[in-house]
Amino acid sequence: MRLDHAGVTVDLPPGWEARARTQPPTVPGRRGNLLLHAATVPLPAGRGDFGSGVVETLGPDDVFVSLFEYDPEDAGKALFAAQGLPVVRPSDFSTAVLQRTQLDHSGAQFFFSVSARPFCLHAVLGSHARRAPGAARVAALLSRTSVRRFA
Amino acid sequence: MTALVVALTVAVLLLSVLVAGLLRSHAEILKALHDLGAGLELDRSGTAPVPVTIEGVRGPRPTGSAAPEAISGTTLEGESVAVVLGGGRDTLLAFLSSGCTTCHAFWEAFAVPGLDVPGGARLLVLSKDLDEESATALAARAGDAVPLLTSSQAWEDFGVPGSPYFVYVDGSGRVVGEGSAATWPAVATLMGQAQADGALASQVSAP
Repeated sequence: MRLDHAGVTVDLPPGWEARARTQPPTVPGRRGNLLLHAATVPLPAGRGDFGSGVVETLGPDDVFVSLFEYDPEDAGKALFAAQGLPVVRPSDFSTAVLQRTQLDHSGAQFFFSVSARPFCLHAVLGSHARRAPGAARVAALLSRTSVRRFA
Repeated sequence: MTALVVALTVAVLLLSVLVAGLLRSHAEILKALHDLGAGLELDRSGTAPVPVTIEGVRGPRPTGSAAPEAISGTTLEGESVAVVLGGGRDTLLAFLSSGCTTCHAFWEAFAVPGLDVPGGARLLVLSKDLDEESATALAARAGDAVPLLTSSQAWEDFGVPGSPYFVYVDGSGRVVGEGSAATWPAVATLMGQAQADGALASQVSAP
């Protein structure tokens, strides 16, 4: 199943759910930025940009991913210098990355640009001890994700 | 005395005509039923039910058949949503309309926090797209608690005959139960039985 929203396309593997919306514009008259959530658990309507309301429901083998777009002019900043979607590895995950420490959860955060669009990717795994298969699930999702220019 | 005999004769004649008319109309009803294929066919071996096809309505889906692999839709807030069924998680799809009277009981039941869904399944409520539905009416029915998506495509993909209608898809992406009832307890019971039957069948068929 393919989710296509605001120039981002995700071809979801079995068992995944994804929701995407366009944020209110930060500058009047300009398009809003994309916020895409994907997870192996149901995504509730009420959830935070970086997964509050969802990550609490993750089982040991579940994962949550948030793709948060920033304003286009930020693409030139050093923070977003990395080009292309990240290649996620188990060693990228740490219990220190989480906004709020969850029991055995693990997180990773990446800043990058694709098609002149700056993003933050925030990924949470249900178990730091099982970060190898969890990271593989995130990597599999990203390998099925594409970003194109969007006016 | 003569008058009494004549009156009785007339009464008997009238009753005879009435009985003959009733017998004739009854025979016509039986003939019409026979033409529809619902008559007794004692010469046919076996006692399988006679299939009846209603134009525009598909027949029942065989239990255990593969469900459409995914659902895509939109929330009332404009979020694009895609859900891939299966993946080890059971899903109960509830096809509801804002205008159907029978659906009211389900909108109310689904709005209660902590709803107990058979088999611990994820509940997804599906209405038709907003060109066929009222966003205001849906928002009033669903509130914030009901996991509602608008997706006429899902109605088409699952061959939904009307609302309310329920489809239970198990974790392997098979339809293990579907149908309709008037109350949530009735649906929960039926879907719970279907889910348990499906799980049992999986255990039996496993080597």
